[in-house]
Amino acid sequence: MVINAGNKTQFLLILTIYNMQCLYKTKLSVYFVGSKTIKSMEKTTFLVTYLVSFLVCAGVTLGLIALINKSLKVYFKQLCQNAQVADLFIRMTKIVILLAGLGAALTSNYTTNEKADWLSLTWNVTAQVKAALESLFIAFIILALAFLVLHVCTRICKK
Amino acid sequence: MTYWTSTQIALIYFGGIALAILSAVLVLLYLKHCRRAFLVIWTKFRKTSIWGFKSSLIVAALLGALSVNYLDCSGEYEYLKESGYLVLTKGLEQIGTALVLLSITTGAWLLVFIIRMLVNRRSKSEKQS
Repeated sequence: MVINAGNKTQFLLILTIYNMQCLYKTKLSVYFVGSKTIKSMEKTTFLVTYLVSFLVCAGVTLGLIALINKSLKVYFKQLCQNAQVADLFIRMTKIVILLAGLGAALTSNYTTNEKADWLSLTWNVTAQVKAALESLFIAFIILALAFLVLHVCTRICKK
Repeated sequence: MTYWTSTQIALIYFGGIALAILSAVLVLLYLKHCRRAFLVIWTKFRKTSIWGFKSSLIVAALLGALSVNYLDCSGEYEYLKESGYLVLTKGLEQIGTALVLLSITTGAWLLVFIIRMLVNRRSKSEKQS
């Protein structure tokens, strides 16, 4: 192939573009590797965040159980007048609260696609904690109402 | 991208069911210490009520685990093969639903036990008077 002056310029231009493309490709691959690394880190972040928020929910549940433990003992000992039956009821109440809290805390709908960022992660964590607290709230309200009705019933029966 | 095989998805599915049943068994083991209390509460139909209580807890956990659907709208699970995270989420959802149903069933039985105990006490006091 004979390269004249005009062609030489074109050839150099093409070579430069080719070199630039190569450079660009290399940069892209580096960037791609970089993005992959970031992506895997993000997945670990998701996992760690999920575990931490689950542990927080479990901690809140256990804390609430510890808070009401004394009053539960007093209430059931007065209601049952039998230590063994009172122990059974206390254990069952604890199980109800524990399972309600943990069951809701396990449910997770985390967004892990490419668009996910720290803000969406914050919302996901909030949703998880909210679900656990909501479940605990409902359990407490139902149990409190049931215990109140039973207390009133026993009072009326005694009279 | 790592693809999940059908076996891996099946393992997560059956693992979720097994963990749900295990949680029900653990609840029953926790209540095993109060066996005498059951005898005090149930003067009649003792065996029926105790077996009803045990089986209802296990069935509740199983029902919770089975209620989670792995299929999409078109009845396929191909989307799960592309994302392992979704499979794990489904497995966790299985256990979560099982625990919530277990909690509801235990709460219902607690109320039944308390009402039964109060009825027993009333009939005793009527007999004494």
